[in-house]
Parts: sequence; structure tokens; C-alpha cells
Amino acid sequence: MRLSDRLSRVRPMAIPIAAYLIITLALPAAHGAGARAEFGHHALWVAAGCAVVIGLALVASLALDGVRRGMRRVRGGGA
Amino acid sequence: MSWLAARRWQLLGVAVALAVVVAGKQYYRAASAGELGWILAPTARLVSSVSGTRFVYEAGIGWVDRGATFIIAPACAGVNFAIAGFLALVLGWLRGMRDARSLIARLVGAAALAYAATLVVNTLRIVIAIALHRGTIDVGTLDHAEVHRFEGIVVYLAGLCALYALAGRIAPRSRHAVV
Repeated sequence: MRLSDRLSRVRPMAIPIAAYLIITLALPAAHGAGARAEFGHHALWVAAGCAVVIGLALVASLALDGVRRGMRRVRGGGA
Repeated sequence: MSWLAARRWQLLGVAVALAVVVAGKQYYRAASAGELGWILAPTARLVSSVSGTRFVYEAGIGWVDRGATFIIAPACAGVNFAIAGFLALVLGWLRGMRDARSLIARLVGAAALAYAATLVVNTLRIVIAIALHRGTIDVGTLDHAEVHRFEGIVVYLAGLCALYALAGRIAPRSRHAVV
């Protein structure tokens, strides 16, 4: 499967992640929190969290594909 | 029918969601532990029953377990998660908002589901945080405060994605946006 196809699997995560970013980063930044050094630090952790969650979803998608392929092979072999 | 007229219920849904987001953030910024009792009290009860701790309310502080040396303070209430969950659900269910009835049903449903999900996901987050605090989960030489922060972000994000995916399955007639 191509990378673009793989990435399309995690597209449903766009809305919940965007909602989280609006609440935790965009609104505080609009309220002036962006001027504080701690905010940049927090934003980095949030970005890392997003990367981890998207990465985990991609790994889970790969694992599911593997399991499905395996099951199809087993069924095909038994027929 | 104009584009605006055809989408008036969806636009109203977005407007209500944004108003809830702004008002919710404003409320959370200044709320005390007592004022957040509607979400902190059930969370503390759930955490106590899951982790074997005993959190009791202390005015001005929050829910405290002196034995575990852990406080469930206003910052732990999960209101940001609840607001993000509500916003994500409303955006996901927008296509099903075709009249006043479907709009109200989806807004109420999104609020109820976001509240229930907050109790579950926040309980999980706090139980893991207690395990980190007690050393049950070993983080080696890593900074405990940073690990606690990162754990919260990952649990909340994963919880939001799970909530959104679940909402797409339990409301198929709402024509969920992307699921």
C-alpha cells in the first residue's frame, strides 16, 4: 500500500485532533498565552503527542492489514 | 434555495458549538474545585474505585488522597477534553443537522457523550498518573512532571479519536463527516 493510501486511513483523526489543537493551543494563544515561554514548551509536547497518536494509528492500521491478509490466506488454504 | 438558507441549521450548529467552546473556556479559567464538583466528584469516585485509592473533598484544594499524596485539582477536571469532544462531535454530526429537531438532538447528544467520555478518559489518565507517581510504572530518570504532561496529552488525543470513531458508529443516520 502506498504512503498516500496509508495516510488516508488516518484522515478521520483530523477533526478530533483539530478540535484538541483549537482548545489547547489556538484559544490560549489568542488569549495572549503565546507570549509566555512555557506555552512554546507546551506546544512542543502537544505536537509530539499528535505525532505519537498518529504513529500508533498507522501501526495499528498496518497490524490490522497483516491480520486480515493472514486470515484470508488461512481461509483460502482451507478451501 | 440559497446556499445559506440550505445550511442554516448546520451554521447554527457551528455557532452554538463555538459559543459553548468560548464560554466553556472562560468558565474553566476561573472555576474553583467546588464549582467543578459536577465533573470532579464523579471522576474522583471512579478513580477511587478503579485504583483502590480514597479521594475525599477538601475545600479550596480539590479531591485529595493523603495516603497516595495525590490531588485531583481543578486543572485535572478534563474540561478541555470535554469541550474538544463536544466540538469534534458537533462537527462530525453537522451533515445530520437538517432541522431544529435534529440540531437539538445532536447538540444534546454531543454534550452527553462528551461528558460521559470525559469521565472515562480522565479516569484512565489519572489512574495512569497515580501509577507513575507511585512508581508502579517505572519511567527511569525521566522528569516525572514532563511524563505526566505527555501521558495526559496522548491519553486525551487517543480518547478524542476513539470518541469520534465511536460516535460515527453509533449515529450512522447522522452521516458522520469523515468516518
